[in-house]
Amino acid sequence: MTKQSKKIYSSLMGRIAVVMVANQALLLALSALLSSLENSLVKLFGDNTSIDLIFRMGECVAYFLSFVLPVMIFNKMNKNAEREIYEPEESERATPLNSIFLFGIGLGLTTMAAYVNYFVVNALWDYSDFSQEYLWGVELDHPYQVVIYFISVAIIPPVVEELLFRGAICKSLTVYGKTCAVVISAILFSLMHSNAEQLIYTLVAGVFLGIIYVETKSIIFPILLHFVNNAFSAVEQIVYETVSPMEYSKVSNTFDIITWVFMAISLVGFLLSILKKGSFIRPISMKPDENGGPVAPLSVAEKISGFFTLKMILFIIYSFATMAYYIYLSTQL
Amino acid sequence: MKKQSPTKYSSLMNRIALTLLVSCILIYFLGRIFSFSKWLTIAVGGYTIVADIIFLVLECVVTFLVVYFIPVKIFNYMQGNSFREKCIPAPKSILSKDLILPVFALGLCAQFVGYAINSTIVRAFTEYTGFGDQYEFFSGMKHGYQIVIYIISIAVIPAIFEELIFRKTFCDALAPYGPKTAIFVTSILFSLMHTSFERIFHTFICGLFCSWLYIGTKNIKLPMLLHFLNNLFAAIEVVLWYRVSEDAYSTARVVRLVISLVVSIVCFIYLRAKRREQLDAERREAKSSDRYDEYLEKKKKYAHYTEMLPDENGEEVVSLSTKQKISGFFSPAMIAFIVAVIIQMCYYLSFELV
Repeated sequence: MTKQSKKIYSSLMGRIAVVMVANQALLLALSALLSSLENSLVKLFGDNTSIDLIFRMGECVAYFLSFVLPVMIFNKMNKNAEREIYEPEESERATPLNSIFLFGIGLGLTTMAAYVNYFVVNALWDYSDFSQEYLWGVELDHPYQVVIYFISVAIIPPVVEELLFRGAICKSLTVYGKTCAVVISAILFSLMHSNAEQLIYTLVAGVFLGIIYVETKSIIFPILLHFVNNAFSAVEQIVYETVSPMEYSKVSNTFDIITWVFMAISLVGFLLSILKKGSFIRPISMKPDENGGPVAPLSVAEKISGFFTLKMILFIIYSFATMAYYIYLSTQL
Repeated sequence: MKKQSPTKYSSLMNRIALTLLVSCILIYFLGRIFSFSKWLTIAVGGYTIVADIIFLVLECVVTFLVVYFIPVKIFNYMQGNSFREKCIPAPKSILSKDLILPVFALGLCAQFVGYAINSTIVRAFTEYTGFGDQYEFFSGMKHGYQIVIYIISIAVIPAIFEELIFRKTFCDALAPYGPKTAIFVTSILFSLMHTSFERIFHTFICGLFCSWLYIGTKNIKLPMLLHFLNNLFAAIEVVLWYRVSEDAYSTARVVRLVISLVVSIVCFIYLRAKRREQLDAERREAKSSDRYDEYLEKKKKYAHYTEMLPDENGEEVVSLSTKQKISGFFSPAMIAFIVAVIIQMCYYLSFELV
């Protein structure tokens, strides 16, 4: 009986870790470069609108580049590397209605997980959302700042993050089964945010984005879900900053109600469609090899041990260190 | 192997652009005369119900003449005297019955989301108030009958005549070049026709869906209804602004935006997944019937072409490529039209800024 190779699997993990490190390094380097440039220009010309406008756009471009360049690196490395020849059998796409239901459930569970994560972290530490403001510098006095803030929070991150995590990582891992692809891309997605307040919630979000990607085999639906999720929080933030905290709670309640109703409808519809058609999650079944003999997938233990390659461990340590650093900073305030 | 002719395509574009230019010039001059006579009447006798109704009827007649009757007569005259393309595309563009409702709902909701995005961006970078092009139509909202007149003149009349010219006349004239070309060209012209930076994006979306519905169903009533409903909602919001309060107006807009966002996302997912399902079914069918190689080859070959029916001698016909279509679109009269529209848009913008 032929088997998928663990060596190829762990070398793929190594490449993924390289991509993640490249992404983090680019994020840090480009934002540091931009802020130092902005500081020196402000010292030269004074604090004026056009410098602010240019650097806010520059931040968007830097964020875009720090995800798109790693994707290009990953594709190039994958082209030259040895790849798995034994693949699982292709499954059908989710039906149109089921895609909508998956979307609704993903939206609802992500919102729920955000609340749980927020309360847990706030119970443990007196954690203000320091890292976010520190990174983005939310200042929304002028309408153009609102528009660029919305673009930089709700439009660019969904597209580029989905291109990296779903379009590149999840896609390259689907040869090891849907579950493996979804779980690993979700773990990396939550580690990338390197923020304790978002750790569990981005994990849940990542799992659902992955499920939607794998089931519908289309990159647009996860981008859309990610967009809706980010757009809600961006609009809440904008209302909080520009209108008033009272309006903020109104808007936030409205969004929550919409999410819960959508989620309830989706859950009922999804359960009904499962009852009608049978089980949703199918075990991984492999295509026969060249002689027509059976092929065995990697076992779960092998997948887990293969995940912890040296590069991956370094990346995990790095992201936990960043997280701890932010917690330390916020307790110092 | 026969090819469609790029010259015929660009001369058709010329004819369309000339028609629109005539229509634009007529709108400009007749609109001036119309508003001047209205102002004169108000100065002499003040607002009365008789004056308002006379002006409503006049407006109907003027819109009918300017937007529909004269341009279509000119266009048909030019069409009758010129060489036209005879090859037609394979009839694949029919919208199945279960897709009409999602397309309609997506069209209605997506254009409002588009309007919110467009107006936010325009107002963020300029001080654009957006009520500019409504001053001319506006006759006060003191009485109930004025609201009815306002809604008729904003929602009913434009919906009927604009759909008749853009969908029934131009879409049909562009039909030989494939459904996608017809949809894109008419919606670009439709968005340029509105001559406002604030509306350029959402009227484009509106045009896309109206043309899609017309080409998919060959029924002019559906795009008319879509156009009417969209204009009706906008008119109701303006009425709320003048008759109730600013708060009611902004609340109505937010509620509509949120509902539109949800509905358009749901419809988008449904349509997209349905399309993928259809493509999968096609591929599976080709795979099972041993015509997979032929299917792949055909797909590769027609990636940039519209699939055409053979001509009367049974010869294969190749449509224009996308590149040819885009370069053919910018014919001399079309460039003149676009320049005129952009000048007018900038003029309105400067008017707003003061």
